[in-house]
Amino acid sequence: MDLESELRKAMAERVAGTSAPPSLVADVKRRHRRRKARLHAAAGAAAASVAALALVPAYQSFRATPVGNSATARPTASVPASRPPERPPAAGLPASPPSKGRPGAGAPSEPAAHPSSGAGTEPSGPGAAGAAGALPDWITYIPGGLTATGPCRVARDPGRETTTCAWRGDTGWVEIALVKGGGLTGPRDLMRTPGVPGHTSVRGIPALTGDRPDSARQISWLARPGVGVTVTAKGSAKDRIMRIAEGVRP
Amino acid sequence: MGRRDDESFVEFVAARGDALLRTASLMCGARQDAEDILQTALEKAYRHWGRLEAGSDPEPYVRRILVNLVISRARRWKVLREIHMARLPETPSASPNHAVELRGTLMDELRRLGPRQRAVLVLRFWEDLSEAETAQALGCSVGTVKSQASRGLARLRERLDTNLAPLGR
Repeated sequence: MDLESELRKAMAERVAGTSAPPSLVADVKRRHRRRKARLHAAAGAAAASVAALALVPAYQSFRATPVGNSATARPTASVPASRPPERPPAAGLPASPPSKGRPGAGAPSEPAAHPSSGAGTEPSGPGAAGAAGALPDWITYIPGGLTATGPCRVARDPGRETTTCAWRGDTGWVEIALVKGGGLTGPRDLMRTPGVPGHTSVRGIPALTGDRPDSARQISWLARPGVGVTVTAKGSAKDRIMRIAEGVRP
Repeated sequence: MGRRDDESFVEFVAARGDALLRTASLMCGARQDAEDILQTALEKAYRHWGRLEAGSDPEPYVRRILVNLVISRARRWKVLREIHMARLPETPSASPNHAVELRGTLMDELRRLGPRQRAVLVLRFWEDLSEAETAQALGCSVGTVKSQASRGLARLRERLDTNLAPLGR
C-alpha cells in the first residue's frame, strides 16, 4: 500500500465539496472593523484612565497642600487650642543664617511699615509679577487670582529686620511679614489686632489669630526663636489663611 | 514598487479562498473551525496588506499565518479536549467497503496526530509544497520538516495496521 498516495486521495476526498463562502471577504472586513473598534474603545478607556490618574495629582496641586503637611488638608482657622504643639519654640537656639531666596537676601531694602504695626494698612498697588511665578522659596502657597504687588520689601530697624511680601486680587489680598531679630518672646509681640486673640497652631507651633477692624484676619507665630511670621488676609483669601500660614517655611 | 491595495485583497481571496479553506479544513478537521481560522488568518493578513509588495505572492504569508493559528489553537484546546473527552474513542467495525474504510481511517488518524505533524503532512501531500517551502511556512528547518513528515507517516502506518487488522487488510 502506498500510504502517501492514499493520503493524498483521502485528503482530496475529504475536501472535495469544500469551497469558501461568497461572503468571506465581507466577513473578513467586518471582523477587521470590529477589531479596530475594540482597539479604539480599549485605547479610549486606557487614555481616560491615564487622564483620570493624572488629574488627581493635578487637582491636589491645585488645592496646593504643602508637601508633607497633613494639617493643611482642611483649610480652617478653628484648630483646637488644646492640640499639643509638636515643635515648641525653644529659647536660646540660634536662627538660621539667611540664604539666597530666603527673606532678606537680595531684596531691595526699601523702608516699609511693619505689616502688623498699623491696623487697616493694606498692601500697595498691584505689581506686574504673578503670584505663582514670583513666590519666594519660603512661601509655598498663595491662593489663585492674586498678583504680587512687587518684590518683597525689607525694612531694617535697629535689632529687627522685617521682610514683607504682598499679593492683591479682585477678591482680596494677602500680606506675609517675616520678622527677624531679638526681643521676640512670643506671637503676642507680633499681634496688632484689637481684642483678645484666639489660639491656634501652625504646623504644631502655637499661634495667635485675630480679626482687624477692616475685616482682615491676622495670624502670627514664632517659627523659631527670633523669627516671627505674620500672615494677614482679607476677602476670599481670609478663608484660606490657615493654608497660607502652613505654607510659610522660613 | 507599489503596495497592495484593497482591491487586490478581494481578488486574492476570490482566487485562493477555496484552496486556503481546504488546507485549513484538513489541518483543523472540522469545517466550522476551518472557516473561523481562515477568517482570522485573512483578517491578520488584511491588517498588513498595504505593506506587502505589489509584485510578491501573498499566499506564503497568508499560509504561514494560517498554519501558526491552527497550531496555536490546537495547543490551546488540547487541555480542554483532555478534560472533556473522557470516553474512549470508537473502535472500528467490519465494513464491506475496505477502500472507503481505509481513507476514512486515514483521515481520522491524521486528525489524531499532533498539530505540527498534521500541518507538515497537509502541506507536503495536499499542498504539494517542497520541504523548503514547508519549512518556510512552519518557520522551522528543513530537517525538522523531514523528521516530522517521516514520524507522521510512520505513526499513520502503525495505527492503520492496528485499526485495519480487524478488517482483514
